[in-house]
Amino acid sequence: MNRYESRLVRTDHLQSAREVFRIPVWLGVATAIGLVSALLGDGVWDTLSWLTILAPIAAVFLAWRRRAG
Amino acid sequence: MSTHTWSWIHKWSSLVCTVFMLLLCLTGLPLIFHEEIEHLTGVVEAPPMPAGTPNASLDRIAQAALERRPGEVIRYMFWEQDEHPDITYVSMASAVDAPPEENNAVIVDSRTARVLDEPKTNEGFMYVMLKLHTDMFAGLPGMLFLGLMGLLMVVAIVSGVVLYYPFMRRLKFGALRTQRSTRVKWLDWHNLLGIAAVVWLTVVGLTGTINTLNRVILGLWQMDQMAEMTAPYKGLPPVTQPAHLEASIRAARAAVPDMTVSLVAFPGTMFSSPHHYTFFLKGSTPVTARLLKPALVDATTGKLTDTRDMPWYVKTLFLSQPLHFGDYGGLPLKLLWAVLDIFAIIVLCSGLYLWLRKPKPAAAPKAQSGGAPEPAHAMRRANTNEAAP
Repeated sequence: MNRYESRLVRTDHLQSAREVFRIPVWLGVATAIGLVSALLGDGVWDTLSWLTILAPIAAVFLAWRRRAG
Repeated sequence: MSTHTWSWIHKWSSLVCTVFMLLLCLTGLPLIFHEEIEHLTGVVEAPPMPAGTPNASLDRIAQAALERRPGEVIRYMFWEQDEHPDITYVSMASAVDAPPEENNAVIVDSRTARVLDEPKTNEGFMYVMLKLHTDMFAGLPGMLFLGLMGLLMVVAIVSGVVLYYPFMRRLKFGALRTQRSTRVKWLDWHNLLGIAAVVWLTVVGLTGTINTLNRVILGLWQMDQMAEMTAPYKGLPPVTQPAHLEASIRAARAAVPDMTVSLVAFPGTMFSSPHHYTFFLKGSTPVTARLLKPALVDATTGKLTDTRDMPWYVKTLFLSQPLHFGDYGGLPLKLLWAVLDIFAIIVLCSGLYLWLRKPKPAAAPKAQSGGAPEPAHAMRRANTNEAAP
């Protein structure tokens, strides 16, 4: 592993569960909000659902953009 | 439990269900867009008529269907008010107690009571996709089996989340190490896509499992609430002189004025009693449109017997449907559903790959071309990068 990759993907300390799951929990909460909101109504509720369910997809896209190498 | 135990759980729960989950993800992909696909392939539309043209009486509509398919009986009539406001769908069969799969569809213009089409409902690409997705052409046992596989997938998801922690303690979220071995690359993709889609996949998996129980749940309702409502009719002879349908639907509408009728089940069918027309009414919001409310109308007198809210287990089934289909937030939601479904396919394929290419004790296995699944542009790009010196 080269140094560039190391800085990009490795943490400088052993993470706690809170640190490991911080972003996944936010993505999960966003997904859950989106799954429910489109059930509650149309219009604004649908838009909210599209934006929040887009969150995990956007996270994957960003990770792919900044992948090591 | 130790990481080793969780790892064992993850491996075996995944291995058993992966092939079936792949089948479900692949067949589910076109099913997300079934409405759009049906539109493209040309479903029949009601001819334009002046707005406000009154509907024909339901009795005339039923008569038209019965004349079109003599010797058969009507089991259900239903409406799709939003999509096709002027069409009545009639589902016929050779007998009231014919197998539930039997469905001879007749499409009738609600205003003129003219038969518009008799579409084939048991052939074509979408039919095959639907059957593979729901019961693999194996009826109720196939359906329940797929439900069990859905539960196993939830076990795989839970154990996968537990394992995410030891794997990621030294890695930032979203780490994709594409310059090391193919195995590390796919491991990172597996972890990233899995954790990103975890809530969606759990919800779709659990609601899918609940949907496989639909006949069991309806049977429960029949024995429970339906039996209570129709208790006074127990042991009475079957209906010989059925009441007018139009009078019956008016009785149902009058009983539940704030909802619209979306389906009527004829006496003796799975969704009704031997002595009643059961009208299912829906509300106007996305939730109330799914939580159908039954109104039982005496099929001899055309008078209301009872109407009640569904018990919690039927409501659970009703709400599981949109959450599984993704059909409740317009086309953008369907597109998101499709992307997440593709994520799930990559998670399944990469998981399978990681198991097949287990690291040998000494050196990490060398990348092999052709063996790795290559489902997305992202993957291809990653491959190219790895091939570079």
